[in-house]
This record gives sequence, C-alpha cells and structure tokens, in this order.
Amino acid sequence: MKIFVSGGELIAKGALDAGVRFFAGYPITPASVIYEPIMRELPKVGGVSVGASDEISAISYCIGASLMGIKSMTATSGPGFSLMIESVSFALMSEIPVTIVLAQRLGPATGGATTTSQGDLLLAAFSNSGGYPIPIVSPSTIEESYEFIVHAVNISEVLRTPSIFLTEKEVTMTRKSVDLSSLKKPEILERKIYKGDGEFKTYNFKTLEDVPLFSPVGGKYLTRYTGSAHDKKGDLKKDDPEVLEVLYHLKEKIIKNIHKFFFYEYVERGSDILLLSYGITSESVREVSEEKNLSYLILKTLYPLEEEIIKSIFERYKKIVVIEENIIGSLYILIRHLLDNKGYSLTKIGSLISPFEIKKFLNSL
Amino acid sequence: MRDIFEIIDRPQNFPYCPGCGHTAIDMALARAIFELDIKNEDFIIVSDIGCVGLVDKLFSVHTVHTLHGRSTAVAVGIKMVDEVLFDNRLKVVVMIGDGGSTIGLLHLVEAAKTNVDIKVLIHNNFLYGMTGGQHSGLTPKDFKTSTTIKGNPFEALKIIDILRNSGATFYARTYSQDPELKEIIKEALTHKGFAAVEILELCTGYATRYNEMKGSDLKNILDYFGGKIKVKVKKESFGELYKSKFFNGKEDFEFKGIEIEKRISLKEPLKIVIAGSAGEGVQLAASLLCYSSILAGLNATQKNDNPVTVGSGFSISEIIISEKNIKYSGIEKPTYLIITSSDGFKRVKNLLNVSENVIIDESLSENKGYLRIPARKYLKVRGGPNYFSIGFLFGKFNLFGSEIFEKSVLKYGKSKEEVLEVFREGLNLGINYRVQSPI
Repeated sequence: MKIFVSGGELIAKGALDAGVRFFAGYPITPASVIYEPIMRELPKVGGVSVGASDEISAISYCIGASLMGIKSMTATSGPGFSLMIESVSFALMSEIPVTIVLAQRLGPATGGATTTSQGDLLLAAFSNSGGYPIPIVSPSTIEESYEFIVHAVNISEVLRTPSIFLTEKEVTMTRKSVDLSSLKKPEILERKIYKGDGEFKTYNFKTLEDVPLFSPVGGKYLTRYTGSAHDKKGDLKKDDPEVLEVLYHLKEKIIKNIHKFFFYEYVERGSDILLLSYGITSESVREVSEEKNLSYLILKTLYPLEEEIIKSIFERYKKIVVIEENIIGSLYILIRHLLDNKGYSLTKIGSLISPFEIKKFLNSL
Repeated sequence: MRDIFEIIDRPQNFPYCPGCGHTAIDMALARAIFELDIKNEDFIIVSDIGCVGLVDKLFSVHTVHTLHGRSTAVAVGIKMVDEVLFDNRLKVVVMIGDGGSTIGLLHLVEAAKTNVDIKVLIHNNFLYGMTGGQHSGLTPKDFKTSTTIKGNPFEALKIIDILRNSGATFYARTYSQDPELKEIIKEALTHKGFAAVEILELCTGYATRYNEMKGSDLKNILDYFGGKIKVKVKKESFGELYKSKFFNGKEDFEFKGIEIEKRISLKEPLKIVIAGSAGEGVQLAASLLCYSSILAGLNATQKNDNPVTVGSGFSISEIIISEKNIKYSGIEKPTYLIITSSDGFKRVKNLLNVSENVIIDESLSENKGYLRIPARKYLKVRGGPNYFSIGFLFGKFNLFGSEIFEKSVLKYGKSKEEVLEVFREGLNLGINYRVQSPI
C-alpha cells in the first residue's frame, strides 16, 4: 500500500506509534507540518496536544507532562529551539525525558523559513549550559523520519534525557510516495520505573552510567526533581561530593549508553574516497555513490559519536569528503580529530546539495 | 501528614532570614494542607528560583524545583495530564516570587486563560532578595532597592489585575502576616481551576535596609497594589473543556492508502515544475498529478514554494515522477516547465533556458519555441489554468494515460466535474498538437 505524505506527517505518525501522548507546540515553518497533524490526531488516540504561547511554554509543558510519566514531544525550528535551550538544560539536569524535533531552516535568526539547511547540528549538540552531551538522531531519507522519531523517543525515555531529532525542511515539507510496508518500526522502549519498597531516591544510581529508575510526580513514592545541583535524593546541595558524582553521571549515562542507539549506514564499494554525510544530503550522496562507485558513510546518530567505529571506517580511505548544507562544516568540525588530515569539507547553503555539485567537487580534489 | 505538621509553628526549621514572610506563607500552606487532609503523594510543589525555591526540603510532598519563571509552565504540563489522562486527583501548587512571575508572566497569563487547575502563590516582596535586593517588575514607585537607591521611578505591575484580565477564575491579594492567609490558601486549593494568590511581604534582608519601614507599613503597600481582595468565578477547567471538545481516545491515526491501479513503466523520470499564482490552485493540481502517477504504479515527490503570504504572489510546485525510488528531490532541468501566470513566470525565469519543454499561457510570451496555450481562459474554475495545462501535458506528451489523472481527480480532487471539463479541453488541445507535430 502506497501513501503520499510529507516527512512531517511521518514524524507525527511515528511519534504517536512510539507512544507519545503529550505534545505542545508553537507554529513555525518547517515544523508546523508536524504540529498540525499531531494537534488533530493525538486526542483521538488518547493523548493531549496543546498550542503553547511560545516555545519556552511548549517545552516546559512537555517537561511537566513527562514528570507524570507520559512520553512527551515538541517540534520547532532554529528560532524556536533557541528559546527552548534553557529548558533543554533543565530536562538534562533533572533527568526528565523529552523529545525535541528540530526541523532546520536557513539561519541565522529568522533566516529563511522555507529554505532548507543543515546549520543547527552544533547548536543542538551543545544546547545546554554546562557542556553535557545531548543525543541527536537524524533521518537520512523522508521514509526514515518515521523510524528515527521512534529512536529519538526511545533514547529520551530509556536514558532519561532530552533527545533531539534533527531534520530539515526538505524532509518535513516534501511529500513523497511511500510504501507503507517499507517503513521500519523499531521496538518501542519504555522508561524503567521504580517499584521497590525501600527508600526511593529520584536520582539513584550505582555506577555512573546507570539510568536512575523513574517515578512520576503524584505517584506512590515522593519525588524530588530539581534543575539545581543536587545529590541522589534530589536535595539541593553544593559542597557534597555526591553532587559532583551526579554531574559526572549525567555525562557517563549518555556517553556509555549511546552505543545502543548508534545508527549509521556504511556502504563499501572499494573506492579510495569515502563520502560522508547526514540528513537529507545523504540522498544526493547515495546517487553519486551509485553512479561513481564510491563508498559512503551516513551518520544517523549525530551526537555523541561512537568514535572507534568511525575511526575504523576512516582508516580504509585516502580521502574523506564531508558533505553538508551549512557554511561552517558542522559535522566536519565534530569529527575533524578523526580525519587524520584526509578530510575535505564540501559545504553550501541556499538549496539542496545536488549530485552534480558533489561530482564537481570530487573532480576538483 | 505528620511530616508537614512538624514544620508548622517551628520557624527555627526554616532556612529564611528571621521575620521573612516566606516562613509565614510556608506555615500557612502547611496548615492548609493539614486541615484539608490532602495526602502527601497527592501534593506537588513546583518551585521557582529565588529564596522561594528553598521550599522543597521543608515539605514531604512531591517537589519540582524548576528554572526561573518556568515553574508555572511546568506545573501546567503536569496538571494538563492529570486533568485529561488521569483522575484529576493532584493538587499542584506553584511557589513563585516577583522575579519568576515577571520573567514567566506569559505562563501565568496562559494558565489563567486556559483555567488549568493549578494554584500559584506569588510571593511579592518587591525585590530580588536572593541576588542582592535589586528592583523587580513588582517594585512599587519610589520604593528603594539596591538598584533604585533614589526610589523606583516606575509603577509596579499589578499582577493580580493582569491575571484577572486574563480570565483567572480565582484571584486574591493579601499580605504575609494576614491572619486569614491560611483560609485564603485553603480556598485556592479547593477551587476548581486556576487560582492565583499574591502575598505581599517585606524582605527583611533588603527592604528594611533601604527603606525606613516596618512590618506594619505593609498595609500601605497593600493599598498601593489595590488592597486585599478575593474573587472567585465559576468556569470550566482546562480538563473539562479539552475532554468535551477534543478528547476521544478511541480512534487510530492511520494514513489513507492509495490502491495502485496499474503499472506503467517510465524510462526516464519526469521533472515537472508548475509555476502559477497563489490562490489559483497550483499545489492541489500538482498533488493530483502526483496521485495519478502513484495510481499508475509510479513514485512521486512534490515540493511547494510560495511567499509567506499564502494568498498572494507566486505559487510553485516541483514534481518528480519516476519508476525508481526518488532520492535527490531537486530539479535543475525540468522536463516540463508549466507557467500559468505572470507571478509564476517571474519566479521561474531562470529555468526557461534549461527546461526541455516550456508550456506557457499565451498571454505571457510570444516565444515560438514555447508551447503557448490559452490556460488563463479557464480562470473561472479554481485551478483552471493549471488543470488545462496538465490536460495539455497529457494530450501532447501522452504521459501515462489521461484516464488515470481523471481517476485521481475523482478520488482526491475538489469541484471534480468542472475540473475534469477543463482538463479534457486541455487534453484535446494537446492531442491536436501531437497530431499536427508528432513528438
């Protein structure tokens, strides 16, 4: 069975199938195409979807809903995400799952609402005060937006963290004929809930990478959530060594567990050159790879990276061409230390990078 | 409820400066919880930043210590879920200061407007006590603070007036030493819907340092803000409204599948750009073309572009139709460039020389190399020029069977009969062209 849908609709459907039952949004191109179907469909399946007065409210509502144990999500673009960042920090510090769809458009500032872009990777990866890792996944086709929103929700639930689903206008707003049976549906994962009868601690862990068992506000066990420096119980503290332990735990929890969610697509064709990309630019890379018989690596988990895997792939190539639609070369910057001086950065803004442009760049090497 | 009871009447257990109004408010809240016999696990304190945020440890209830100003919005999220998806059992109380209530003013306004069943205790001590006594949005005129040492030149925001005008269904103003404070809080807690209580207090750390005043002067300031009030209005809460208007919980979100009618083979992908005017049905016509190709067993992508004002200026649809899966969805060289208005013409000028075939309304160009057709004659039908052009395309180039486009109109179109009539006129013109000059 075929459907003719936008990536935005697939994201909405994927989110609901992943178990999202709370959504708060604020209109913004190119994320409104997610907001609208979710507003329409979520109450039908037994969830709550609300329009917020701004993006700060939207993510704050989501955090509140998630505190009740409900899978929560919001969707925005660069300007809206900029407003949300303070609350991303809060969700990170207080270990409250929330999924944020960041549909990129041309920046900076208001930029170009209907022009596609891949300029927000670094903003998303470091979108907290304090310098902690935030998981980012990104679909590399329109079809994959269904699969990867499920991964994004899974990650936030299982690791008790904000997670970012990074995509582009060209994914959310392009309609495509899609074979329903071709959509991959990952296993739906759930937050681990505390059910013990001892003393409950909101942020309990044995080893630093453990994800504390969750208990909702208003539940049987009294909870103490906080965005301030705290001990395992959730009591606001400063000088206690346990506070530092909790802070290290926030990093280790992500870094040590991301391998369960490290997604990539590597196609080896025996070439000396490796094409490397992410997001919708991957589609042009696939075309060039087929035509020119070149290997490619597409990263679908963009942060944090499993560097050993990437390194072991890079070792097999003489030239690695990082292709992305921004000015600064965001992915190039993230992996530069792994490139061993073999890296080339192809960047562009204003429209999709075409297969033709990639081939032209390769000829110039 | 023993734990809460233990902090009542024991000011020595409080972290606040001696004489701070926060102690009185916390005690009044503790007594209110006790007297209403609310279970610990049914009570959630959502606290803001500032001295007010030290409240968490004092109460053995659920606590969420949030960001500056965001306490209200987080509480709203909690309570929306409780009202709609659970049993509306929880009491959610926001403990916020004057800083939090101005930095998060819109959250308060929205909570009041939507009548979410949260209770907000606004601790207004006219300054930022935790950071050194700087003035706030709620500092009265002439009041002295560390940043307004000659007196605040501006009037204070009257937060309760703002919330009343935002639709709050319970709003009260009083002061921290008011013997009735506990009763007012109890009323707020039992009110169904949004409740805000502004409680004026003097910061013993800073207010009395910069201003010559004592506790009893608070009554004058209370008058300045509009005096002691308490008003209750009956209105449906957020949960009641949401459940009656939207909530269902019995349906699924399913996409409407497209049954493939036949399998057409296509050597090369078709890249079609339709450029017309907003309000003339370009994007719908383009989507029907996509649907028809899917009915014919092909793949399609569609991208639309228009100015931010969707009802004026150009409207462009880019379509790729292909037998193989479409990866890169951009179009550099259209197989067919269809131009149905001057708005569209201006927008796609750069494509004229690179397109294989240009189909254009005859009023827009004299160029003999283009296929000039009377598309705009069909403006009376919404989308007319576009359907006429698409008909012409099918006729002249024998795309993948005109009957499949007609099916697509019947299944997914609007004003189907009129649209089909125009489409067929275009089709016939196209067939004539084909006969006169075979491809």
